[in-house]
Amino acid sequence: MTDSREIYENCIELDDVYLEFPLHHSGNSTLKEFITKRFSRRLSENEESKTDNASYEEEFRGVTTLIWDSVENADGYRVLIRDDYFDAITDKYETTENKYRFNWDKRDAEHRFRYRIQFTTEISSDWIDLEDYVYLEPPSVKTRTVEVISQVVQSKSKGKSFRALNGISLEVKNGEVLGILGENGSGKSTLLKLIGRIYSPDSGTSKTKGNITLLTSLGSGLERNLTGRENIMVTGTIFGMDQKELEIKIPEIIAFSGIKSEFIDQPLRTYSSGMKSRLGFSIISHLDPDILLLDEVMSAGDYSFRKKSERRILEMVGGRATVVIVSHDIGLLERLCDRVVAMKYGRIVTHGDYEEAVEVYES
Amino acid sequence: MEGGRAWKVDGGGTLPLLSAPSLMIANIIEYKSLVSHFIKKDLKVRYHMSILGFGWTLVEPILMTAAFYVLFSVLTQRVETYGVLKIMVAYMSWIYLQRILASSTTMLESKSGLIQAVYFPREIFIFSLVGVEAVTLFLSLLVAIPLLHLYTISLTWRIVYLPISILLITLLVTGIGLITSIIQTRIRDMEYIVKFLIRVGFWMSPVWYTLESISRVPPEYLDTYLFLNPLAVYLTMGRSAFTGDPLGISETHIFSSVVVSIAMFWIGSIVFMRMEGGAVKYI
Repeated sequence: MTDSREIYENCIELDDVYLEFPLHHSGNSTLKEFITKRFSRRLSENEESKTDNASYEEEFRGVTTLIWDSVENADGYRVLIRDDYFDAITDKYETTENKYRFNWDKRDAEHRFRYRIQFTTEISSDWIDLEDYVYLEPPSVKTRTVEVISQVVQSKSKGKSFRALNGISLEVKNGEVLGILGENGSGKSTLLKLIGRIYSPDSGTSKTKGNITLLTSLGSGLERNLTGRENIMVTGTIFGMDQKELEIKIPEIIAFSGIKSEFIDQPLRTYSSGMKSRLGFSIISHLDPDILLLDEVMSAGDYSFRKKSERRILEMVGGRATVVIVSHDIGLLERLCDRVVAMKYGRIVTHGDYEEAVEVYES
Repeated sequence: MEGGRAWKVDGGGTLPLLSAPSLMIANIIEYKSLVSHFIKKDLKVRYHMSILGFGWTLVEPILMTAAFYVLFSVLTQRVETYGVLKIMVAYMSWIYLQRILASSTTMLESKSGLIQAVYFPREIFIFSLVGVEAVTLFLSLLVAIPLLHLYTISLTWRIVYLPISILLITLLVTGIGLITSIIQTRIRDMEYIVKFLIRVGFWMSPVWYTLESISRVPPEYLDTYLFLNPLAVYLTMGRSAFTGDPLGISETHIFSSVVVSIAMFWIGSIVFMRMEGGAVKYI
């Protein structure tokens, strides 16, 4: 199925994309597998892939969103959750926003909970109570149908495989910022890699137009025996920067990485692991892509570098680029994204509404 | 690099048959700055922190040539004209093809970190490797110059055999390397098979001996041998380029060896382009 229609500048368009990963066999069975595959192909012409899907009813209580009035000069808030059963504070949650989502399904149904909001200002680092403890009213119990989709597919021609992407259609427009939520293993990173052309779909089409940069942690891409400066040149070229652009950007990249001048011309094996990841992040964060794919990248270096890199990413997201962000940080996605979708079992299960996506993610 | 160019992935993947080699070469031209960067980087890293550095590309073949020359003289009990030169040229060509074969087989597997982080056509790894080895071969062949003086050989028009021989070797081993690198991602036995074949191939090819020196082999066997082992033709070509001796190989064999070389590259590029996408899942 070839769709030769051109797509617009800096857009992403996926249509009914499937991607399967073969499940690993031990070395000895590879040959056996191969022979049986060849043989069974002759026996049955019509091979069907087989999936076991089921559904069941589940009780749930849902989420209570706590919202409080914002305080002037407040630098941050803290929510304390007190469990009466233990007679102790069981949760401390720090946030910069004036709301908190209390998930009932993650708590014991018999317990009673109270909460209290505190805030802090720049002047004093102490936590000041905003109000006294208030009891949380448990919501009524509802039921819903949960669909279980087996991602392991048995096909006679290919053997057993894991369906990581299960019919994904997605469109991201020029300049749009899309967030993807989902638990581990739901296919978010695979989807990002597919958009970034690292994987090609088994069926369906994936089209993008414009320079793509996939921002993941880049430790292994750097060359141990080359100096920091040489690594910047090589990696920059790999990621598609041209020579002149790179030469202009080098001082900026070095300055951002915070690597001292006596180290930048030393081979990378003399670097600490933190320095390496800082260098890696500096290089890729100074690319100027049309389409930016972010995959949980805020983990390079120490605290101050993490802050700096977060700011840098916000700058990149705020620019003209089309962005897709994968993150578990719900607050971050709400702040940055025009649209948030949730993924489950290799499928996109919501339609772009933030609240809906969060609900699916938290269930 | 892919600035503004839309790309599409077809579900089944259309099989580029006739156009595969040209598509591959077009990719290399498009990404030429990356290829040259990889080549420079690898050359820099290869002899990193060694005292002799590039000297090793000369020392090793010279010592091996000396050893093989002694072996050859003892076994055949005769002195071949230009013996040292003949062994050295063939041995250097052999090192060239052996390195390409061995390294390309494990190439995709060893570059998995980079492959998982950024997309560019993966054949670039293989072609950069060929580039690195070609530079090394060129440098090591410079040793032939003093030898030519020593033997007082003046070069004839047959020197054109040298680039032809290198080109034919390159097409053949690049083709094989493209295939084995892809297979290695799924079946890790490939590496060992290739290593074994290289070792067998060394003794089966006229590297430390010459085609003339096995002339007591009946002609019909020699005929089959030349059909089965096109490397014998390429290596003899490389020798004849320097010594100016006639090839002593019939046109049929030259023709068939050229066909094998081009066909191998063609098949290799088809297999690689067809299976590259799937191979990423295994590394």
